[in-house]
Amino acid sequence: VNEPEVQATTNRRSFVASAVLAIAGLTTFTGAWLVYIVRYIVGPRLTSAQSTALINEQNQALEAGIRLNNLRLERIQKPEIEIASLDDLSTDQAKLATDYFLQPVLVYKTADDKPVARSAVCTHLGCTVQTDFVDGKIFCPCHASYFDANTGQALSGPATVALAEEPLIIKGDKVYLVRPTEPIKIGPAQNAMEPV
Amino acid sequence: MPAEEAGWKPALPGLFKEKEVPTHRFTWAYYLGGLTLIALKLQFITGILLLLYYKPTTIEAYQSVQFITRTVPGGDLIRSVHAWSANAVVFMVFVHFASVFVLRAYRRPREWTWVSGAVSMLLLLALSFSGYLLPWNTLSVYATKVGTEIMQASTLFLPGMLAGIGGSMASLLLGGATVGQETLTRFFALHVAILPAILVGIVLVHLLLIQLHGMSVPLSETKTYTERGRPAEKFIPTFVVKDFAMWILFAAAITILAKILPYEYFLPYTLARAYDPLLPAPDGIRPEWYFFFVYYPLEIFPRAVVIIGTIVLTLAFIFAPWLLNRVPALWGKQSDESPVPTYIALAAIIIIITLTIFGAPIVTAVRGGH
Repeated sequence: VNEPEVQATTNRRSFVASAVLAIAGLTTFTGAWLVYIVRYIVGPRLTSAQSTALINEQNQALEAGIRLNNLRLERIQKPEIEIASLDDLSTDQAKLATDYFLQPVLVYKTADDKPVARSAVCTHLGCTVQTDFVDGKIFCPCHASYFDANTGQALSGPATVALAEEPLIIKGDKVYLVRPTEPIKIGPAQNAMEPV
Repeated sequence: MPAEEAGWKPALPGLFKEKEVPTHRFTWAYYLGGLTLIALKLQFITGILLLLYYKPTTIEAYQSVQFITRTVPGGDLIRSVHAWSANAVVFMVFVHFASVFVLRAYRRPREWTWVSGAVSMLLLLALSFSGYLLPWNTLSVYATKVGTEIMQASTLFLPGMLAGIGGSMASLLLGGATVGQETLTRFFALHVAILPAILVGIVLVHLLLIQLHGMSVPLSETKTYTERGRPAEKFIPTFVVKDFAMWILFAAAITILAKILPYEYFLPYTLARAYDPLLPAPDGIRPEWYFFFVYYPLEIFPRAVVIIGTIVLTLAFIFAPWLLNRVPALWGKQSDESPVPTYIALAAIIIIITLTIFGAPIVTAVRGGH
C-alpha cells in the first residue's frame, strides 16, 4: 500500500539531486569551457622565438611543396632523369626515388648485379613498400606482402600482382629513369597510369 | 497518458507539456540516445573552433594542426576533445543501437525512427573517415589510400563495365588518380559542410519522430509495467533535468580524458609525423577501431563475399524493423513473442565486439603472419 509513496519520495529525492548536480555542474563546467574557448578564439601571443620557429617551419613546408612541384615540372619537361650513381646501388637495400608517375620507385641491383627500377607502390592496397629487403625479398609493411626482388613477382601475403619494372638507362656511371613510352600498371590500379 | 499507445500526435508544444517517460527496469536505456547527441554536440562545437585555425592545403594542413595543438591556448584540449568525442559518438551510437535492438524499440510505429538512426550512423562513419584525412599525417593519408583502394577494388568481380563502378566512385572521391590536394579539399568540404548539413537534417527528423511517438516500453517489461499501473515521470522537468545531468557528467568525462590523455599519444611517431610522399609506408597502417568489423573480414574472406555481404547487411540493418517483423513469421510465431530478433541482435553484437577486439589475432591465426 505504501509503495507508490515510497517511490514518489525516491523520485523526488533523485530529482532534486539531479537538479542540484545539473545546475552546479553546468555552471562550473560551462564556465571552465567558456574561459578555454575565449582564450582559444583570441589566439596566442607569439614570442619572437615562437614566431621565428613557426616561420621556419612554414618555410620548410613551403620548400617541400616547391620541391614536389619541381619534381613534377622536371618529369613533364625531361625525357630522362638522373636518380643514382651505379656505385650507390646495392642488392639488399633500395634507393627510393620518384618516378614519372610521381609515385615512389625502388632503384637497386638484382642478384646478377643488374640495376633495376621497380615501382614501390604495393599492388595490394597502394602502400609504399620498404626499402630494406627482407631475405632478398621486397616487403610491404601494411599487410605483409612479399615480392621477389629479382622479378617483382608477388610471393606471399595479400598482394597477387607483381611490382612493375620501370625503364631506366645507364650512362657512364649514372643511372637515369626514362619516361615510359607506354602506360604502366602502378600499384593496385586496374588501369595503367600515364606518366605526368 | 500511456506513451506506448500514443502513436502519431500533432502539436509539439502541447506534447512536450503532456509528455511522460515510462519508468521500469530499463529506463536507463532512454539516456543512451541523449549521450550520443551530447557527444555529437561536442563535435560541432570543437569542430567549429578547429575551423578557426585549420588550413586545408597539403602544404599547411599538418603544420596548422600542430599550431593548434602546441601554440593556440587551449588548442590541445579542443583538438583532443574532438578526437575523443568522435570515438565517443561512434561508441555511443553502437551502444544505443544495441539497446534499441535488444529492447525492440524499433517496432511499429517507430520503423522510421530506426531508419533515420541507421542513416545517421552511416553518415557518422563517413564523417569520421573524411575527418581522419584532415591532419595530413602519415597514418591519415595511408588510411585514406587503403580505404579508397578498397572502394576501387570493390566492384572488380562484377562483369563488364560494372567492374569499374568502384574505381569511378573512388576517383570521384579522390578528385584525381591518388590522394593529393584535390582529395584534401574534397574531404574537407565533405567533413565540415556537406555531411554535417545532411546529418543535422536527419538527426532533427529522428528527434522529431521520438517526440511524436513517445518512449517505447520494452516488450519484456510491458506486462509488469501495466500491472504496476504504468508508472511514469514527467518529461519536463524531471526527465530533462536528469538527462541534462547525464550530459554534463559525460561531457566532463570526455573533457578530463582528453585533457590527461591526448589522443595522439596512441600513435607512434612514424605514423603521427607529416605525410611525405617520398617516404615508404611505416608499419601499423590500419583504420580506426570502428571499421575493424568490416576491415578484418576483408583480410580473410574473398573480397566479393565481403563486399556483397556488407551491402546486403547494411541494407538489412537500415530496414531491420520490417525484416524482423517477417522473420519470426517463418517460424510460425507472432513477431512480438518470437525470440529470433533477440538472437540476431546478440549474434551481431558478439561478432562486432569479437572482430573489434580480436580482429588482428584472428587474421594472423587464419592467414599466418600479418
